[in-house]
Amino acid sequence: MKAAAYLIARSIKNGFLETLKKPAKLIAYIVLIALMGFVIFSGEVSGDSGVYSKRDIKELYALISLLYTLILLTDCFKGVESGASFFRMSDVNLLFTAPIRPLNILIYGLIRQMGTSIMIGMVLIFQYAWIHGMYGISAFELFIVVLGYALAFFSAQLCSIAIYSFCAGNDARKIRVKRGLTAFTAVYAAVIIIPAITGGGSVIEMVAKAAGSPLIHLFPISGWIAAGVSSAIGAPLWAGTLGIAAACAACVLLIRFLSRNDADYYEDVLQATEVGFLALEAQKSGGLREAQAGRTKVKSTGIQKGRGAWVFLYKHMLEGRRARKLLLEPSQLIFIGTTIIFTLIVKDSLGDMALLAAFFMGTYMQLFSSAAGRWLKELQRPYIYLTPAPAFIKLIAVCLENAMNICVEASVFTVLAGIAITIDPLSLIALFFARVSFGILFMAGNVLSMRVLGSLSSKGLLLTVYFLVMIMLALPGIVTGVMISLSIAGFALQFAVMALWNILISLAIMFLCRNLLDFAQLT
Amino acid sequence: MIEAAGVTKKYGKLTANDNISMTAHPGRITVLLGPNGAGKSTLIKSIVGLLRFEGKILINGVENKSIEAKKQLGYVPEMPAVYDLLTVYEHLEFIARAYELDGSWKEDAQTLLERFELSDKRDKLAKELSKGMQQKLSIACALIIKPKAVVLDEPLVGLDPHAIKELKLMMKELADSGAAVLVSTHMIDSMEDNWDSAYIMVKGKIAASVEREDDGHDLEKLFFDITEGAVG
Repeated sequence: MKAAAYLIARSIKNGFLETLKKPAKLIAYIVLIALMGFVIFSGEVSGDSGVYSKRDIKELYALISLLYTLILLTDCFKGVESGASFFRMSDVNLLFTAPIRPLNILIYGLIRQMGTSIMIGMVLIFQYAWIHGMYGISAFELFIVVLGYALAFFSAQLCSIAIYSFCAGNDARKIRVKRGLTAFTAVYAAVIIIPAITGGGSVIEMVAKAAGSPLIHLFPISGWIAAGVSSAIGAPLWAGTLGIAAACAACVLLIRFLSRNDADYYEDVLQATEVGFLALEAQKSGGLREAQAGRTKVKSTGIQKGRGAWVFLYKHMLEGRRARKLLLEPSQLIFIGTTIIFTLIVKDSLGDMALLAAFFMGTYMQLFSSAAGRWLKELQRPYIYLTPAPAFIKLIAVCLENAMNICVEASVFTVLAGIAITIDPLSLIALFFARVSFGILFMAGNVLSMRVLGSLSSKGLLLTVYFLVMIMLALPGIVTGVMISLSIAGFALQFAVMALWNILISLAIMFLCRNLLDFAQLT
Repeated sequence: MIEAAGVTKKYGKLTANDNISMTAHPGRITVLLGPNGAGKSTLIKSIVGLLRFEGKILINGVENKSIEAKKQLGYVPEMPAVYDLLTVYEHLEFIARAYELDGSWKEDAQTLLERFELSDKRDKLAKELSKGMQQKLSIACALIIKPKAVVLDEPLVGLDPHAIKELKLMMKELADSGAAVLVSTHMIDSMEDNWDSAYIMVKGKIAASVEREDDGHDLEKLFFDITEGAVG
């Protein structure tokens, strides 16, 4: 254990010294902390000023419950095929092979993971303004929510490894566990949805009541943690104490299970660790890998179509079909889902403006999902540059699959938004085109960032420039659209103006940057 | 001595190692050869205790996953993975602590750093090193414990000529001091003067094993004969 303690202590110390030596990094950390402080301060001010209308705290209990359960279930399903890992490749090579008891190594991994979980949970701090405004909880209570999130994240990882360990090499077990998890998910969903459908009152109210109910708090681990956190912000304390105790006991049992045969868990974390390591190495060398654990089913082989530059389009479509099981990436579905839930929550208080709020929230989320894509990965490989075709055609061909994905995503978003809020058909169509146009704009912005900055080694700087460029490009269209909407009622024209601006500017950028592919952007 | 007896490792329906039995004797350099996908890395990972397997693997007579075995075993992985936030010297200090080495480790560390030309990098964070230097550091971490058995997985990849020369010399010194050295490599010609025993793996099995003392063994020719389906 001394060696592991040395490792942790030295890493913290050297990390701190590193930060002091690099002003940019130090400033970034200071800005982040200052931003958190500002968010809390402004949250207190805006929350008490009446900008947000107060809502039933049961909705917050429900959100907490749903968030924790989503984390848990996602990792549990992942655990069946690929597991998770608390460890890095350096741990595998240097710690696993060292004469240190595997249980001690596991404890070291758990301690590190808990630290990581808390850091990840701190993102919730940035939500303080609206949570405080709508539900009246204090900064301290939000911090409790953060700790609960960290515990949920930590438990989810532990479950993932334990499930992988239980199922490894045993297909029958994998099927049984998958069925069990599916049944669990179905029951959980039923407990929430059935009262919403059969009960009277608004859907939001019924879902919130069900998702924050004592019955949901009985669900293993995520429910128990949610009970614990909810009790800290108003629900019965005894339920909360019992919930946290039960969750911790479950974690202890999982750790016991993992360490049952000493070294056995090494193999269970190896695959996930190797996948993570390869993805990280690819990132460091400027490339993005399709690093995913688990088997990819190959149903049919052959690209079948496309000649010259157009083969990239069909290749991407084939890769897309193999890479994902659903129509959209899970992250896209989560972003859309989050936006729709936000819309349902605010539609009563914002009235007509709910559509606009939903649209901009969705566009904000789209900004992050568009920062990655198969077309970007293609630019990290030599083939697009070597293909003997005009550069502009190659650029279009390589971006087209992403553009098609944007249209599919916009369709799903528009349909769900139309269900969530009552919108006239014209506004709905304009909403669709506006969403597509922002996706295309973000793609063009990526191209412009790369063209201007080339193969920049600092990914942080590239990302910062990317966000600034996006804001600058989108602003004229947004401002024009808003000004028009002030004089003419309805959203259709506003969305149409934004869409037109975005498409025109995107085409201009793509044409001006058409020689991007004349020089390899490889680092 | 590294002994593998009846080692079988399956990944679902794929048998990566099929009833493998081999021995790396003390005082000798044993080379493990085979085409890509032959199962060399799987066998090596099983030997160093990272994988579950059927069969038995002993390190100097002790079960390979035991603490006792790990105290004697050095491992150089194919891809160096270092701790980004530890310096070069701190890596060696970490290993010294993990293996509970006595005070003489500091001299050994200094010697290793000099031999691998890392002395001037001792206070650099590992993430600032080039791939080749990280590989050298990886090797130093394996050798500082003065192992009685060493497993090296493609150790020469990414090294400059000086480091290759030093590593080959060190492997010889280790073998001369009585350690069992097992090297997995594709660079047959670089090991041509450095091997005592060789195992050639094909499709998860040992296809051939040879001793250098036997006359007329050209390792490269034997490798191609076996793997390209000629006389086995």
